[in-house]
Amino acid sequence: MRLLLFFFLGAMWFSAQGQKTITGTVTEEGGQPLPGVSVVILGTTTGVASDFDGNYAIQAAEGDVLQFSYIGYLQQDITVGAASTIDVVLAEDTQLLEEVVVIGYGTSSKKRLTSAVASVKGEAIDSQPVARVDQALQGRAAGVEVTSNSGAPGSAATIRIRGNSSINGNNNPLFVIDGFIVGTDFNLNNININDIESLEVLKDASALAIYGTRGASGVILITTKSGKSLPVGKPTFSVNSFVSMDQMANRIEILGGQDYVDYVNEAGQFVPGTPIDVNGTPVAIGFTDPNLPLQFEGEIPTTDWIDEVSTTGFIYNTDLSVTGRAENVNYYSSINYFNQEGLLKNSGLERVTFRTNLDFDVSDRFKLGTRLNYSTFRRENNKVNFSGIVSNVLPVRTVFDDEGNFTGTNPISGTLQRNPVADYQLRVDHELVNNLIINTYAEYELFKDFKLKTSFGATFNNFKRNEYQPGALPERILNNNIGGYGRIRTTLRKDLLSETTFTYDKEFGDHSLNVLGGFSAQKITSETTNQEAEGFPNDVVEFNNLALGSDPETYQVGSGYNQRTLTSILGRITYGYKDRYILSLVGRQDGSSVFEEGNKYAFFPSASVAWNIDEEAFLADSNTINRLKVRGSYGLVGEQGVDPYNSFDLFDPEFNYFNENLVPAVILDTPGSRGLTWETTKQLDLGLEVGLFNNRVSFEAGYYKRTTEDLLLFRDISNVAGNRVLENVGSVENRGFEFLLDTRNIDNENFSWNTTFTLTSNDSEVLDLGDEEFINIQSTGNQGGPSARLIPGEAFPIFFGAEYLGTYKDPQEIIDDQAVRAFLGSPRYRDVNEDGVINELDYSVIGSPQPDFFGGLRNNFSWKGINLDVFFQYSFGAEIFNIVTQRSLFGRGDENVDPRVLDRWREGIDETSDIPRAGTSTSLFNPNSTANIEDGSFVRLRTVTLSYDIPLKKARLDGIFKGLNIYVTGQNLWLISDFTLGDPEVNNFTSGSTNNEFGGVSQGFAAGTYPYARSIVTGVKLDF
Amino acid sequence: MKNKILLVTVFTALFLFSGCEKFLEEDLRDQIATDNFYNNDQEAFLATNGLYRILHRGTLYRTRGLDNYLVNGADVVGPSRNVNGNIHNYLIAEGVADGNGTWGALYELVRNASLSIANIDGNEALSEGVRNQTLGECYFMRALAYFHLTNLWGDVPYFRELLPLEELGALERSPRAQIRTDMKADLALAFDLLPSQPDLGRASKWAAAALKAKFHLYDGEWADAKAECDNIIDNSPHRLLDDFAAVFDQTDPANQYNDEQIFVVDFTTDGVFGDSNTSRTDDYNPRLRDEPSNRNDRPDGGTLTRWELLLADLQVINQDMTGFGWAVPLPELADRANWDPDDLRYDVTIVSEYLGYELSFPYFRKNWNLNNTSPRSNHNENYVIFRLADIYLMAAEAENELNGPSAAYIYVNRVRERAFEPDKPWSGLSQEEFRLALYDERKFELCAEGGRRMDLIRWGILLETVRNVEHRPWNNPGDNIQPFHVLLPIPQNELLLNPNLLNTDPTNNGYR
Repeated sequence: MRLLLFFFLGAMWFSAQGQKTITGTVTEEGGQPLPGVSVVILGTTTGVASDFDGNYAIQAAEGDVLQFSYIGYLQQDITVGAASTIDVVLAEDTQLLEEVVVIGYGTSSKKRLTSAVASVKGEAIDSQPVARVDQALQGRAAGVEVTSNSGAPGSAATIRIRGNSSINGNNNPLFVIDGFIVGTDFNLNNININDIESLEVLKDASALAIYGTRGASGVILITTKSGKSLPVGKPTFSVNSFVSMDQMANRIEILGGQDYVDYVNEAGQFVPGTPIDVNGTPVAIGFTDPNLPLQFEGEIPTTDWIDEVSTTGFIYNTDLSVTGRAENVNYYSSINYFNQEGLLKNSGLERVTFRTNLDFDVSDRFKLGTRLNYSTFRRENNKVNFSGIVSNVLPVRTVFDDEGNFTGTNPISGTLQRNPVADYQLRVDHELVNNLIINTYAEYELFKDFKLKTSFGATFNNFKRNEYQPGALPERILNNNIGGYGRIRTTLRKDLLSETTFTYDKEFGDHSLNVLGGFSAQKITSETTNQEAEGFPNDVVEFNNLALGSDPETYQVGSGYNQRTLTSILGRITYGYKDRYILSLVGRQDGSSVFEEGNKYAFFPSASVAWNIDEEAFLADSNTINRLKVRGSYGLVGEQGVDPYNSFDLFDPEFNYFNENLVPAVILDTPGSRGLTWETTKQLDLGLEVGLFNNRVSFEAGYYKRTTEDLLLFRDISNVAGNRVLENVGSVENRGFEFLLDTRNIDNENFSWNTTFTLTSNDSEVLDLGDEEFINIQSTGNQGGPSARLIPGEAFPIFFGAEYLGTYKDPQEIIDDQAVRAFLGSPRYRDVNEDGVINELDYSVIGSPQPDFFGGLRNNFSWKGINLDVFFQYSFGAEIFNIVTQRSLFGRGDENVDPRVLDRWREGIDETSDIPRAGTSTSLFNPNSTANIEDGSFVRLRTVTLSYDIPLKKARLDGIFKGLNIYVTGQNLWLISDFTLGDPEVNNFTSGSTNNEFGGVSQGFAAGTYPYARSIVTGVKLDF
Repeated sequence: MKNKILLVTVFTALFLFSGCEKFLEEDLRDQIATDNFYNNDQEAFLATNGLYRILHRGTLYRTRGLDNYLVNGADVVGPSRNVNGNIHNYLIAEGVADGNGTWGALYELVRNASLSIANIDGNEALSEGVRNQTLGECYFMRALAYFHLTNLWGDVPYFRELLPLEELGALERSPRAQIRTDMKADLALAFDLLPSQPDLGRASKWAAAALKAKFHLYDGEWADAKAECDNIIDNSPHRLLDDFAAVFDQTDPANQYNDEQIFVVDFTTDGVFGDSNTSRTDDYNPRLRDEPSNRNDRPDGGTLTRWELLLADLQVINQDMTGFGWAVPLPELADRANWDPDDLRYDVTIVSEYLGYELSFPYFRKNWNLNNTSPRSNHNENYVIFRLADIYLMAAEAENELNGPSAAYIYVNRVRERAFEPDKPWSGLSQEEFRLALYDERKFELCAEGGRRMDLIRWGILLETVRNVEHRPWNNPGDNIQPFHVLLPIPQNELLLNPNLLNTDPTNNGYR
């Protein structure tokens, strides 16, 4: 490793030569010495830094120009004369002290910003034990909702910026890494968190319109570290290394042991029928027949399947980086090694990333630079169907049968079922990814204040997934599949982007003007292959040689090609007067290949204004109000909403058999959709920024209203005509407030305490669905009808179901309801139309996965180098639809039950319980209902980090290190939640999941996901 | 320098935007659009093969799709426990077991067949033989779809070519009679176009004739029905097998076809696509959980229970009971006393004891297959839609209705010849006696083969039959069945999407 380090740093070593020694002291205006000031002889690579007392010594010749620079201070150039002592006083750079924010195609001072941008600094997130930056963003930025989907290593989180704005299209934000648009489905596993300098979340139309059709769901700009803002000098080497121990948190409880056996036996002896006469009407009330055989007798072994498949996870992470700046070049280069073993056995992620960022000043006017990121990782996919374990791998099933073979069936239903232990031991399933992002730019100052920049970038992503199911898997044996099954899938993705922009940046008198213009063209192609073979006589070669699958008839091959192109013209004008009044106009015209001729182009304009009231005379001398700004913006952004090739009537390739002979076939399945165009989001944004008491209290508040129109919807059509078509109909609205409060509660030399609090409240509403009264987006029940729906006037989306009234406790209730297949102790629902049947005509809105408000609270305490960072994440008011409730609480006999059934309705024992009796599956128990709905509110102590900057002088390490920090982080230590099925952060359907086109908006469904970890991280950071 | 860069910029811009139109064209490379197809014989076959593939949909023949409405809710088949109750117990309503999936799959068949008919008819790029065969297959398949649609729902939306989506999705119901008249004409065309002896699994001209005969029979057009049946009996290569049991023997996947079968849906074990096999057999196979009777007894004081012993005996002959047991004979049909003592078909049809074990339930031996080569949902048994014995009985029925029994005996007695030992031919019946006897004869010969409920409906005796037949304790269809149950309601989902479906009949077949 060390060799490698020297290899890529070797080129960046510089040395100095001189004629005489100049010494001096650098101080700031108050007379305090300034350590670490860069002193460089202009035009050379010779440079030193001032020491702790501000003293420096450098070899220079008369006539040389010494450049003194230090971040936050104005640079000074002094020509060496006869004197050999040069003391320098550096003035604070008030302009620079003003925070700089990265925006699309440029940067802006916070003061001149007219749009809503949330900023997260890299150091706030870089010690978390996760592979992906999205998992570290939770609760950090106002207006950004991040929900974990799974605890599996390297799995994506769902990010929603100001709510969902598209139904079938994309709601994931657009990721832009150092100016290169990597798209909305970029695999964030390719980026090392430690490389990230800052993340900016663009939220309002003014910030987003510059990304036109790709901005509707927000944009996240990732800026990686560079040596740009460093003083000229020797490089700094940094090491950040941590180890994390992960335990399963918030384990799902499943009824096991004798309790379960009793439940099943009780169900087995239950007879639903037996009419009795009440008021002359025959009613089946149900009874227990003790003569019926018991399902289980005697000693029944029970298995804890979650124990069987889970283990202690760990993460080992090391970052090595070097950064620095010489006269004409600055650089940042890093290597990251990340290795995670997941909580479920045989799942994990092992990754190496390399990054090199370089900027050259070829001349005063000409700059060149490059950003290069290469990552290679292997993701060991989870082999175990965890939600299967939760729902139907029974405790009464053993891992092995009497002969020592893996069991392969559900002992009650007899259905073939995977064996979770066999799964993790025998299955092979992993992904290999190589990803290269390279982006090169050249910038030339054509004339004063007018710069031309052209950049060319490319992303190459090479994905391969290997799977192998050996013949020894019980389901293969029981299915009489001879031998093993192997499958290989590959995707080659190529993304080319060319952008040329000019900027004109001019200050004249009280006026400032910033003009941006440019054009861009992007082409994204992906090529996929799929190969499968079966009948491997032995399991040695696995997927490595599919030709060894002995059964040629089971060879399956497939390939695909997909292409998308975009061209754009973009522009932005920002005008400011005395920094008080700022106006910005933004526009982008996009052309996209996915629409038909005539519909390919769209224009997205926006306008925004800001008023810095603190710059007004009446506030100029205020000691209370340091910053007061109001801003507003309005504009349009777009979303393409659809995949390519939607307008074609396409045949699906199929097969058929005639007398055992395989023949190919085609079927026209889904007709093409004609005349489609963009989804457009109209967005209003109002913001207030306040800084009080020397900026010790800073407060930002925002209000937004986003209306998305021309939604591209798959509309169900009569089955006479087909299944469904896409149409531009409908609109949705998101309204919300965002708050950010940042306070320095205590701030003195020895002790400081900072608090950051974010709160977001988003209200969504479906305004219009065209001719549709509703759209069903999920049907999770067995025969239970829709469970999530979009309905105009309601939130986006809502859960849908019947009202659960508890159990039938009196035969008269059954008579009154004219209930079919009901009995005492069976579930009772409100039969709204009183037809005796509970179906979707009786359903109504029963909840919504939308939280009322959510956010985070961060407290940071610092005392003499000891830093304690405590971060809470919270979410209130969201509901969760627990998919397994119908089976786990109402029982189905061959599926797992929840420990809550211990309090069930029991004949002669507890006839008041509202948890249905054992044997309920013989009743009408499938409707989706309020019984499925649970409160998803939670408060989570997400991270606690305790770190210590070792005082180098005291430890006499200052000759070796520039910084040495050790830290301990606890992740997900504590959770308050009433949810019964494990962790309340759930998302059973994600946009990527198979055949699930509404995955992107079907949030809040739980079926038992890969469990989340509670982690203890210990790490060290050192700079030298 | 400045000028150079300006120049480069301008040229780059011009280059990019001149190429724009081309740059933004959709580049479809990996899929076939319908407007670039039917260019050769192979493509015509690909499209028609797709029609056969649609028959594999779970809502049609692969599982209890059509069977839900063709065999359940009559007097032959019921579930072995309280399952499928909505259908069998006539709790059918809009949105409840209204056949929505079956409706959709049948119209998928209509659309695909219509698309192919429009593209194959008169297409000079195809050879004449292939053009005729594929066109005939399309006519046959579309008629099969409308046969079921009009049987199950009566008047239904009707189209013969792919109209724009909005029009298709807004069609009113067309009169059943009009649709069926057109289909009979199409089948006549198909008969002329189709070969007499095609590849196994594909439709022949005799399949078209058999379907046409069914249409006529159901519509009471006795002479036409009789003519079609005679044509098949006299001119087709199909013949009755000598052994009734052999008719149903599909245990050898390589040798599933026999001469009696006129048209089947071909299923395959371990196929490469998901729907290639059938799980219908699982409905007729027992589940070990239910079997045998007194399953937990330990005979002779042994350590093994009866079900463990049965399992061991099954394993010796490589069999298992892994079915669903959803389709077992109703008690009266299963009772030997209700069959003629000399009727050999009973033992082929019904099984109530197996390997020396008395079973808890009777099963349809003709439709089961316990061979352990294919546990649940991986069966190869073809779904026989038409077989020649049915044609004989149809001819007998048509002749009796047309002219009385005298010339009808020959047909029914051909079927009874192999069914009885000693022979028990019919004679000396009145027309009415013949008619009533035939009601039962069709049951004994064809039960659980997908025709019974429609037979009862067309004879007008569904209600009385369902009410009078004995059901198992967990079922009570007799209490629920109403006269309007002879048709299904137009599915709720369809009504919501296309309110025009209520224009001609606001009561929705009497369901509202």
